[in-house]
Amino acid sequence: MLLLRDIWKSYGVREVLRGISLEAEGGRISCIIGPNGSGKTTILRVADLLEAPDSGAIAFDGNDVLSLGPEERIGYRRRMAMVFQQPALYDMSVFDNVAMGLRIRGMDKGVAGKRAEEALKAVNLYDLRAARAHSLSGGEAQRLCLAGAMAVEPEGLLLDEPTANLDPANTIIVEEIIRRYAKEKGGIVIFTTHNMFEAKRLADRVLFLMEGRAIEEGEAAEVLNNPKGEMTARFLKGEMVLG
Amino acid sequence: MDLSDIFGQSLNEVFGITALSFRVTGIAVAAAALLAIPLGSLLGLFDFRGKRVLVTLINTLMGLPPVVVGLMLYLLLSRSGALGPLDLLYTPTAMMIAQFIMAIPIIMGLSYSAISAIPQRLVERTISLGATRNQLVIVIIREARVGIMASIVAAFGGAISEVGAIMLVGGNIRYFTRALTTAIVLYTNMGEFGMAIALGLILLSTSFMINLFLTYLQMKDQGTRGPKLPKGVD
Repeated sequence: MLLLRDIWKSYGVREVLRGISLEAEGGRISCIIGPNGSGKTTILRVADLLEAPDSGAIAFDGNDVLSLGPEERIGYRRRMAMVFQQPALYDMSVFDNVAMGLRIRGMDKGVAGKRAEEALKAVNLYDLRAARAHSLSGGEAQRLCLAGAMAVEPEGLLLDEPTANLDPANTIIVEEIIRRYAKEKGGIVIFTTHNMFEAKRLADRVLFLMEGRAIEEGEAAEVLNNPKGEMTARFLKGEMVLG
Repeated sequence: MDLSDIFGQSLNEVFGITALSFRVTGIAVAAAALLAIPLGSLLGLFDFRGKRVLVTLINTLMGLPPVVVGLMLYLLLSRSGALGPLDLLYTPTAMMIAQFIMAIPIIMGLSYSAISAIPQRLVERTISLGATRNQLVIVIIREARVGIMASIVAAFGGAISEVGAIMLVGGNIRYFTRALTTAIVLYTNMGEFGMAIALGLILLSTSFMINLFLTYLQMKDQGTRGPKLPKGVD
C-alpha cells in the first residue's frame, strides 16, 4: 500500500499542494481528477520522489519513504514506475527505450529482451521495435513510455494523464492494460486525468483536487455520480457539457 | 614520372611530415577528449557556485589565439622557464602539449553545451527508472554523444590546421618537428608554391578522410539530425 499523508508543497510563494492525503491499495485503481494546475502532476512527482514535499509523509508497505537514504530511494523507485504526461524518449530504438529500465536494473539480456518484446506487443508497437523512438507520433510515444513502465513489472504505477495523446482505439488498449495490471497482478495504480469519463471507466477511488486542495475523496461511483461538494459538481458538470 | 619528382624531394619526407602532423594532433586531441569530456559533462550536470564565470571563461578560451598559447608554452619550456629542465622545447611532445591546451576548452565547452541541451524530462525519466548516479551520467553522455563527437571533430579540425603554436614550440625542424602546416609556411616563404600547394592538398584530403570517419561515427545510427524543412513546401 502507498500512503501519502498531509503533503504540502510550494514553489516560491505559490502553494501547489495543500495538505493532500491519498491511500492507494494494490489491486485498486486510484484516480486524481481535477482541472489544469490543480496539483495532479505534482502529487505524482512527490510520490515518485522527484520532488521533495515541504511537509507530510509517504509510506510504502508501512515503511517511511521520505527518510530513506540515497541507495534505498533508488530501490523504492525501482519498485515503482512513472509515466509522464510529456513522453521523454531516449535517442535510440523503440526496443531499446523499453529495455532501458531493465538494463538499469542489471537484468540478464535475454530475459530483458523477452520482457521488452512482450511489453511492446501489449501496446501494439512490436512492429516498430527497430524504428528510432524519435520518429514515433505523440500517441505512439505515449504507449512506448507505458510499455517501458510495464516491462519492469513494478509494484506501483504512477500515470500522469496516460491517455491524453491517444485516439479512442488506443485509449481502450491502454485502459485495458492498466485495468489488468491492477486486477490481475494486484498492482497499485495512481493515475491523473481531467476527463471524468475516463475516471468513471477506470477508477475505484477518486480524489478530486482543486488549486492544490483535496475537495472530495471517496469511492469513484459515489464521488463522480453524487458529488457532495459544490465545486466538484460544477467541475463535473462542466466536463459533462464539454465532453 | 616518379612521384618524388613532383614534390622535388623525398616522398618519404612528405610521408614523415604527414604522419607527424596526424600523430601529434591525434594524440593531443585524444588526450584532451579523455579529460575534457568528463569535465564538460560534470559542468553540464551539476550546478555550483561560480559556474557561470567558469562557462564564460571556457567560452573565451575556445577562441584562444594559438600564437599566444605557443608563446606561453615557449616561455615555460625554454631553458630559463619553469619547465625548462624537462627539455621538451622543439620536440613533438611540446607540439602535442600546445594542441592539447587548445583542444581542452573546445571539447569541454561543446560537450557542456551538448549535455545542457538534454531535456530535463529525460533526466527525470531516467531517475524515475531507478538509475544510480553513475548510470544517469552514462545515459546522459550517451544521449549527448552527437554533440560530444562534434566537439572532437571541431577540436581535431582546429588542431590539425594550426600553425602558430607548433611553429613556436616545435621549431619546424626537418625530419623531427616539421608538420604539414609549418612546412607549408616554410615552402611559401621559400617561394616553392608548388610544394606548398601539394602539402596543402595532402592536409585537406587527409583531414577530410578523418572527419568523414568521425562524422560517420557521429551519425551512424540516426542519420542527419536537426530540424528539416518540409518537402514540397515553398
